[in-house]
Amino acid sequence: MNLLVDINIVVFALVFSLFAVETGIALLNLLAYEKVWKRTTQYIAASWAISGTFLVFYIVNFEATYPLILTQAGTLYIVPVLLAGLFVIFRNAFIAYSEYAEDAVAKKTFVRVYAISTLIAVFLLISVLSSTVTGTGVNLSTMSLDYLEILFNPYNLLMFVCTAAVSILAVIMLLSIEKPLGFDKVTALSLLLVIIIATFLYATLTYAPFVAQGLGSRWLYLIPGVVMLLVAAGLYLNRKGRWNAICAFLWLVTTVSGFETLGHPKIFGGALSISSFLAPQSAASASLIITVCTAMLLAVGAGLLIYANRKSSKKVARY
Amino acid sequence: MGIMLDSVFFDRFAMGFSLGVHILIVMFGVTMPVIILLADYLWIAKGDMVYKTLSNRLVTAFAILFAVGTASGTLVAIDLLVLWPKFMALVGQVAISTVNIEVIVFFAEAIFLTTYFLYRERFSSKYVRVVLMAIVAIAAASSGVMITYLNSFMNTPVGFNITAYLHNGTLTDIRPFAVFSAPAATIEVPHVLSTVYFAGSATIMAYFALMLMLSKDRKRKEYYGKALRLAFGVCMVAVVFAIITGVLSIESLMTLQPEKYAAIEINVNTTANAPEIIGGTIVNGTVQGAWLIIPTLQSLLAGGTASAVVPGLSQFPRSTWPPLFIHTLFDLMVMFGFGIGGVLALLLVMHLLKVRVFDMKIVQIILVLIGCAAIFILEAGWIVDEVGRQPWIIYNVMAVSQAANQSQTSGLLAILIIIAYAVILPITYFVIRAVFSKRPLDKELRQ
Repeated sequence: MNLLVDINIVVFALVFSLFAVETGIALLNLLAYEKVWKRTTQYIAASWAISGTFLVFYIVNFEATYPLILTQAGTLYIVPVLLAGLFVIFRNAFIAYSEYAEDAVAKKTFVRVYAISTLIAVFLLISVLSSTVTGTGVNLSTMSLDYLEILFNPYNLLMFVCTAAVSILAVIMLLSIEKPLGFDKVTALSLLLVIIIATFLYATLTYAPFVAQGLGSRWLYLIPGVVMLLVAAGLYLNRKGRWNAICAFLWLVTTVSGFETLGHPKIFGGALSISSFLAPQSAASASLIITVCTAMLLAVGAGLLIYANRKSSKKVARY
Repeated sequence: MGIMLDSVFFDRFAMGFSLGVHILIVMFGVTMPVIILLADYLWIAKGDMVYKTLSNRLVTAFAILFAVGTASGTLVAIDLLVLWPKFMALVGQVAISTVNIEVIVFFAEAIFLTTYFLYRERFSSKYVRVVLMAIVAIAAASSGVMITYLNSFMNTPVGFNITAYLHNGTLTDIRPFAVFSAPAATIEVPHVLSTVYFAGSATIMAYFALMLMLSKDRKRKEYYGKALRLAFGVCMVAVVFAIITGVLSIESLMTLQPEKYAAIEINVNTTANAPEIIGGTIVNGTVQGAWLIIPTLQSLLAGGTASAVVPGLSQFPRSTWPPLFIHTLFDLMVMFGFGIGGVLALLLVMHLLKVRVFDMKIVQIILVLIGCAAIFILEAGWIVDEVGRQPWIIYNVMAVSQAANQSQTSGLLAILIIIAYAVILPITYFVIRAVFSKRPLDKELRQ
């Protein structure tokens, strides 16, 4: 592993986590709009622009880290990636419209379109991710995709179900909305059960080719899932803690990083090693410097936003 | 004879359409923060609440446009990756610093705009909002600057051993920050920035002129009058810089991209005493259908003397000539640009002589027309630059057809991109209208 690859994985985990939270918010808004829109809108209003920019950051970071694979990646994934891009346009536009809609019906419609667009974009991006890991639906010799297969294969569907279940749980912990939702222990346990089954099947199925090639044992690929579940249970039980929201997000980021690191550096079910597509040293050093600057700016920016938010909360409380 | 529509055509079309729309949104995204910043400053400095109302209303429209702009920017980033993968593979190794830094400044813009938008009334010092918006304005401009650096790299590539790359296709001697010294950037960066400010402020000025024309009430007239003068000030400064940098950029083309220069000026042969030809095109090796020919003017403008030699297309292979319609487009753009510059200068002089020019109906109509022409100038300038580089995506290094994704699905995706924008843009307009219909200006001015 090299530092640039590590950073790329962390950036990916951050993007995935930010969009996973939005997946949870989208699902909850579709299922129980009246109960959650107020609280979720507060989060989305402050974060959608930053999440969207993170997506672009990841694209650029990927281009800087693996420039030699771009010709193949662009050729293979033009359809799902461009379609996802179109739905990201709808996501951004409709969340902004919903912020300004005064009329309740219009607001609800805008939120619904936002939610559906987000879910489709996330599903398409998960399909791309899933197919790069497993190689399902990818024909490397003709550099073509079987679109139906990459979208509706068991690995992909399981990954989406797992992401959806985890994201709902994460959003509930992140935004502390179990009360308005009427989220009880039975629902929590049911959700955990879905996650357990989906994670087990996903890890077993997805990494089967890696195990077959002797790249680690079957149990190794289950470790992140088990750790994720233990931490999820711990977080849920201690959900009144002050740092709960931060912990919930960090848990999500760490879990995604864990899963992402498992197959590395092999992709397409172990058929290719991504290490051979890395940027040359001089370009990598330049990217590293710029990425460190980005991280510093983000830290300062996040600090400013939190400071402004707390200051405003205090003022509001005083009135 | 039928037209062959291959995948490269659709790649070009999809990219061109996405960028053509994105440029319009960027034009507002770069200019609006400057006008909001000035309105905030004038409110604090003069204590005039009209400027605060102006700032509050503009920032709402800006926030909605920013959301759409962020999305179309994301689509452009994705377009670059999937439509031109071989180009991005080269950029990823040599010039990615530009896009990387663009993301940093975009983060800054997103964070500080969110802070301004949500919390500006919460800070005890009024100047905090000015500082926040100044950062947004600088970040928005820097974002454009970074992308222009990448475009300059496409026009005058640097940062790797070009001879070795053309010989064996491998990139050697890579200098990732050399992209910031691309020769075309010296003039291209200030020219792009000034034209974007010009087009953005002219369009906003046109809106205020139209609203002033339609206003009956005194308060509304005062509001739109002040807003119009503010946008006019920004437009006046920008147009001066746009004209100066525009003239310099034509001069620099002569040495940096002679084919583009020759096509823009429709020069058949390399010659001294070259005339300035307005209109026309090349038929059978000679210029035909010119609207106006001014002897020797081109040599005088390009080199300062009549004996200055200017390049002609005949010195290059026919296969590397750009499409010649850029000559007509360029002529129209220059005529509009100088015309607008002259009209604005005249209005400024009259305004300084205490003539109430902005209250005149005819001036208001002219300003509305200038706004429309400014959009044409911005788009035409971009088309002249991009089409003028054809058939290259990276000048003399990589042809567009080499860089393009050869997937047969490009056509369908191009249509989907058009549909997406066709849905988004009208809704954006109606949402902005609906927002302001719930926030009547008269009520805000009274408050």
